[in-house]
Amino acid sequence: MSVSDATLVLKTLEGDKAAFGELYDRYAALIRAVCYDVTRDVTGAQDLGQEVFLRAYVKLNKLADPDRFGPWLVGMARNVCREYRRSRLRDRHVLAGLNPAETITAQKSDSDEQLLDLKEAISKLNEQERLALHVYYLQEQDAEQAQKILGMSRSGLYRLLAKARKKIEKYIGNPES
Amino acid sequence: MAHERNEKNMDTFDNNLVRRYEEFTQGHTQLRRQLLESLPADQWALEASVGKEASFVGVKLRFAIRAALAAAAVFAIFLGAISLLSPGIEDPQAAWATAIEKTTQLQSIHFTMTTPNGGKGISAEMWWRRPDSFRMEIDGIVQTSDGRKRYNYNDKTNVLVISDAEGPGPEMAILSELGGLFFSETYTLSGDVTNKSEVLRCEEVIYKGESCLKIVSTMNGDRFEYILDKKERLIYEVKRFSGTSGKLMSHVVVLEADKEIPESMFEIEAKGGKVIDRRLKK
Repeated sequence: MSVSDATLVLKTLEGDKAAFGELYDRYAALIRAVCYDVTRDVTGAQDLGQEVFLRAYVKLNKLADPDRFGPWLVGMARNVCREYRRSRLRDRHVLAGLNPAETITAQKSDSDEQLLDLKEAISKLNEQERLALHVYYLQEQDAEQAQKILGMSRSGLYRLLAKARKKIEKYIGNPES
Repeated sequence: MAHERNEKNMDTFDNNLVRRYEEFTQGHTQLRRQLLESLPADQWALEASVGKEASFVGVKLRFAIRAALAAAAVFAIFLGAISLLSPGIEDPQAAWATAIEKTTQLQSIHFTMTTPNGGKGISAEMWWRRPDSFRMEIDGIVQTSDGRKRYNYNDKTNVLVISDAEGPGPEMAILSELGGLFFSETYTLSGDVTNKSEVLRCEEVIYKGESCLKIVSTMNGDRFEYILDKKERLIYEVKRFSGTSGKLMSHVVVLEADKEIPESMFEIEAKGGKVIDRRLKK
């Protein structure tokens, strides 16, 4: 039986960095996916993800309920992403000459067209739908765990996933829509 | 055949999504090592004089106290912390499981549910009678069902809509965990509640002048506070707090349990152009 998040949080607070490493193993991919939604490139998402975990570690003793580490971390990632988005707006010169459409074009070195379409379709979803997909597919399609992180009912999760899938299928069928 | 094709499409779709998400696991080992190396020195270590085992308890207690601070007076927390540690108190998980079980066996219930929603919340009053009769009133709108027909009545516009009842309606969904326990005989939420929840603490409290048990648990990331009758284990009150914001999401107060509810509560008649609702005395 795997150790609960709460136990790992408490062990981390005792100074056990390996415990934090285990939390990292559980959530790093998810956090990178959340960050990717704003960075639109994997390397940027990895960097932003590291920032999220660093902040989480520093603020870990402020987490009110260690059992809620997952939702707390996702909330923190969304905050970091908001900050990133704001700073990017301030420093427009960083993206001079690049708009989101061009960024996507630049990524089209990927030989797998299907995956490219899928990436593009996911980016068209709203934040909640994207997050539901990220959580579900990065937590090994474990609905219970996804529910816990998203703080929603099982039926709510499946409804959201179904809606997201439908939108993706529609987009892939007709990318101009 | 169509079904097989759909399944095949779904498999491809799922597989593509799984493949898409693999990208986020790239470089994980190296990133992990970099992160762990860059973590600042231990900043939460308890006093050196405290032993390792004791410090673990200390950290847990610190969390319990911090969570309780938001909701109760310091004195109550102190008592709660003592009761949590007292070996005399019975197993909180068992006490709570009994309460859930008892609630699922109730034949009728009358309660209110409030969702604060930042001051724009709503308050509903609900009567439910097993298996499928219910009445719900929200701000002049009444929905009832006697199991055969469903009645939707707007007191402000004096419009009544009668339709066939086809199982529990969407209004049951707003009743959250407690309401879900009455959803139907086959509804599995009671199992979900007992299996997926984790009791964080249990303490004795005075509720409306009676000595009761307060049980704090988590489920699906949210925090729940149950007030139970100490002896009978009936649920008097449930508060649900958001797992992300910590804000109160819903507050259910049980007003009556297993009391006979007259049939007229679940029916609204329309006679000669007039709506007759006995509860609203119209």
